[in-house]
Amino acid sequence: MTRILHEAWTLFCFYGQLQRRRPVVFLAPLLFALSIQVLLFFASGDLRGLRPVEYFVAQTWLSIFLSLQLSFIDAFKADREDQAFELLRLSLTSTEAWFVAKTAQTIILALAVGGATVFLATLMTPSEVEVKASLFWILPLGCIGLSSVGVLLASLTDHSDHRTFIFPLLYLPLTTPVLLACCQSSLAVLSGTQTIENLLGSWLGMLIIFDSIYFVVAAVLFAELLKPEASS
Amino acid sequence: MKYWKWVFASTLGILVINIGWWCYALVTAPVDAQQGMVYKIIYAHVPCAFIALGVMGVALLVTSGAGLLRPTQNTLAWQRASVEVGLLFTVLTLITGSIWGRPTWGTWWTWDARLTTTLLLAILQFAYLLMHASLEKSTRSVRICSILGFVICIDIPIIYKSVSWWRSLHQPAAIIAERGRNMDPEMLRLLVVATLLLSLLGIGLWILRAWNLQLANKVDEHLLEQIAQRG
Repeated sequence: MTRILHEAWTLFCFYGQLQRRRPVVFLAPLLFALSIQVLLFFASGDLRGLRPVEYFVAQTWLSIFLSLQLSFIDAFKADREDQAFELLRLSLTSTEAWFVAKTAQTIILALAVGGATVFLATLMTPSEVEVKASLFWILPLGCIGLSSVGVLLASLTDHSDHRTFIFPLLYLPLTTPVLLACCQSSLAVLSGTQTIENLLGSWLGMLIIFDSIYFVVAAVLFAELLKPEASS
Repeated sequence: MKYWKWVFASTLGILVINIGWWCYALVTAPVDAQQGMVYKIIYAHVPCAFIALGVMGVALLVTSGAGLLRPTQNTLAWQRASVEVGLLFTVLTLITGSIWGRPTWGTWWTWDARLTTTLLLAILQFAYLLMHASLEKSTRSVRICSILGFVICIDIPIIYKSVSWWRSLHQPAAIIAERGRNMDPEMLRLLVVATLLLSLLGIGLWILRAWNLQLANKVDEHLLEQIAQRG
């Protein structure tokens, strides 16, 4: 376990270096989420005033989802271009460490996108919605679920020429339970109908279960993808 | 594959028996106290859902496991056939459900949990077929498709449990309910036979399609060999 964590940390630092060389990988989804958020605020206009909390939740999670979906399609692009994929495949690095490092990196990206989106939404609805601190418990849990599935699907579709179309087709159905749980939890917290403790027995509990299932399944199946190629 | 004529004839025979059974059920099944005659679509809707979620779900799980243990094009053919037949019955489930929903709920479609998740399953199956078509033939492609097959199988229990997890318009489980059965024995008898017959039809279609895909692989290999010899 310690060895896996140590390897994962080394790989995480390596990915950090890769990202520093290509800041656009990190900045593009962030700016995309913010522009989507502005677009949705503009499009909803006066309608937003009728159900401010519902609009806030829908717009925020939709912006996060769309932005992450686009960024995950090419999550392994840098690895391929820098030959990191082949080097890691040949090295003795465990696949679990590889998965943990990649997922941790995407979670950080998701958190940055999520945090910025919530911040912008709060600025745009100063009097209508009171953002509560407990929302920041839901955001990381949502990011873990979205990132685990994203990393698995990115590695699955990496060999396909049509990943731009196939990835969204797969990503939406698989992340629906996570998105539902995130939206319902956020709605309950922001409208003040339930507390975080109460939500642990319902939507938030379900979100934690989905996160655990997706993380474990994705980690196990990720190892299968890295087995060496043989002629069939 | 040498028994294909027998399997083809049996599948055709089962299809004819199926149609006969549906006609018999339409005429003899008792009328429901609340829904009247409309409920009789259950004899097509429930068996279709059983094959889409149950029979083809198990077939996909087994073939995905086989694909990971022994990644060959033959195991992939069985896997793809299970997704194709599964997709066919998922679409039939959605269509028959929609026809049933119009008179009972007053709408062809609603964003109810079970309807939505069944639609999502159809999208996943469709995406699997697209993915399969976009990959080159190799052991890695077999492994990728097998993993995707497993992921689709994970979605099936979520669909089944969605009615109790989320608020739903959909009827709660009547055949296998926690507090015992609440369905008329005559209705149940007709439904069980209809489900068994349609399951046999689904399995027949699955075998025939898998053999068809294996044959297509052999033709491809043969053509490639011929091209290589001439080149």
